[in-house]
Amino acid sequence: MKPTTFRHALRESGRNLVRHPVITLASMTTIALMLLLVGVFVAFTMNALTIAQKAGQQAPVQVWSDYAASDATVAGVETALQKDAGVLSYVKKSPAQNLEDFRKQLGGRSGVLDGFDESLLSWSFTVHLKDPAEGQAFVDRISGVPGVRKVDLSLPVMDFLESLMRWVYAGSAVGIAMLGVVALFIISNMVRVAVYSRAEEISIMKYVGATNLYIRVPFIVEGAVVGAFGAITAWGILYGAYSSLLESLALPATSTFLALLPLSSVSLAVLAVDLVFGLLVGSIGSVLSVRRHVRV
Amino acid sequence: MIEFRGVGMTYPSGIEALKEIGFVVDPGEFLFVIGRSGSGKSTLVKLLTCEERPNRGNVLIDGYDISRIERRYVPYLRRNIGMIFQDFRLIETKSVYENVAFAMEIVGAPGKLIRRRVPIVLSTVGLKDKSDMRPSELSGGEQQRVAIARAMVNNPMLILADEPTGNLDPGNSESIMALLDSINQRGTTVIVCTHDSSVVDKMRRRVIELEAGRIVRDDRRSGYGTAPELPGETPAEQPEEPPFEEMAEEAERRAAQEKVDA
Repeated sequence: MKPTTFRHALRESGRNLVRHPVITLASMTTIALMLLLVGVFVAFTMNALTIAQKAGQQAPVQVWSDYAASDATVAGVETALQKDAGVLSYVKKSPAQNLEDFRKQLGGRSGVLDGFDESLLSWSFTVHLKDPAEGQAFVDRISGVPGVRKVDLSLPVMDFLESLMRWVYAGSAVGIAMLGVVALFIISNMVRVAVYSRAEEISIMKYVGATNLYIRVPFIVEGAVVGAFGAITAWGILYGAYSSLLESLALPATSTFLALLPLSSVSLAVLAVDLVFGLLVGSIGSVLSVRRHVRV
Repeated sequence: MIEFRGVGMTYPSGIEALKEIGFVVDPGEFLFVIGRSGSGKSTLVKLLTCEERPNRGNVLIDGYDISRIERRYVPYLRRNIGMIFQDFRLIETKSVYENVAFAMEIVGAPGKLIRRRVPIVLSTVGLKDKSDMRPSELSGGEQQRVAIARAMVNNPMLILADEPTGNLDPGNSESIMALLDSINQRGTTVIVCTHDSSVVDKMRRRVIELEAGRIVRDDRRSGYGTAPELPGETPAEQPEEPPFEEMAEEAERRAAQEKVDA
């Protein structure tokens, strides 16, 4: 295709977008609605995965030092925890602090601990892991550190959280795939309608000597433009809705596991997914639909 | 030169549209192809534009067998053929100017050439003042003139008209045929498929009559009915440069004369 021919074809795509306003608007609206659904699902999935991940990190692993361990030994255990890649955070408690916690747990019956020798208790580390699936591996690693007497891991809880995360991942993947297929189907049909409404125009262009490429280029560009505009529209609606949701629900601070993801991280991901989807489906859908009409 | 050599065409449904027809069209010739509905006229047009391929025989244009041409080269062949249809086939969403210009855009003509030539061609067909109008705002005759302008703007070697006056009244039919005649006078080969007997009788050019897919008559200078064959004239040679400026001047002179006569 000559450069001038290509320029004419590009210019034709711009003119067609303006010349068929109803079809353009209908296509854009359909694509925007479908991509809005995709975006909502992406936002939901991101939040669900984050919450599941944070919930998994809540279940603590208790690490107990040897009885009457020296300061150096306790420092060694603490260093091992600091260096361990699977550790998210830990809280170190002295024997005196642990005794105080026992007293609080006993409440009115704490008198039984009067005169109790706190040196009979050990130092403890309440550890939160980044990934509950790594629980047993962490236990195996930390158990070998000198000065560690006992490691308590609530395996059923860890297994449940790990299983929960797997289900959330799988459910999200299936949901996005199904929604993607539905969106693809609906957007393709809309594009097909747009192309079909210009079937006569395409056949006239063929009679006058237009090559298949000359006919397709404007539709590819139009499809991509309509897809991109639909994606941006969907993103804009979702941006507004999500920020309103954050304000109106006034959920806990981001450090707790129930908090929704910040607007910036969700909006970027949604924009990326919607744009790629809109551009691809818009342009590829146009090409596939035009092929049926270029056989004159 | 266009040559049909033993061309036969049977559609997949079993209908035999053309039965081993053969004829030659010289460069610059004006030819009417007449016959009843179903005689094979439209099939002949489709074979020339490679919309269909013959089952038997060959269709040659300037010695090149177009019946075996690869699909990807068909658009380039069609750029040398100006098509005119009974239903005009203009793009409704484009203006008169744009309908003619896009035929040049398709072949990659530079914008400057398009801006220079399209107004001249529209003057030739008498529609320069209606450049910005849409086809729906024009009469049938005017729409067909736009179609003719689009057909001739790339200076094709052949103008192929399939029932060009089918949707027009006698007055408009006459002006359309006059336009085609003037294009032919400049050297372009013109083939008109029609069952409009009045225009055929008036113009008295070569007539090929089809009946049930066969050529039953080929008269050099004839009317719609059977007429004795007269010696043909040597067709005009095709000039090298597009004669649009001369045609536009002649059209303007004719329009001015009509105003004076009125």
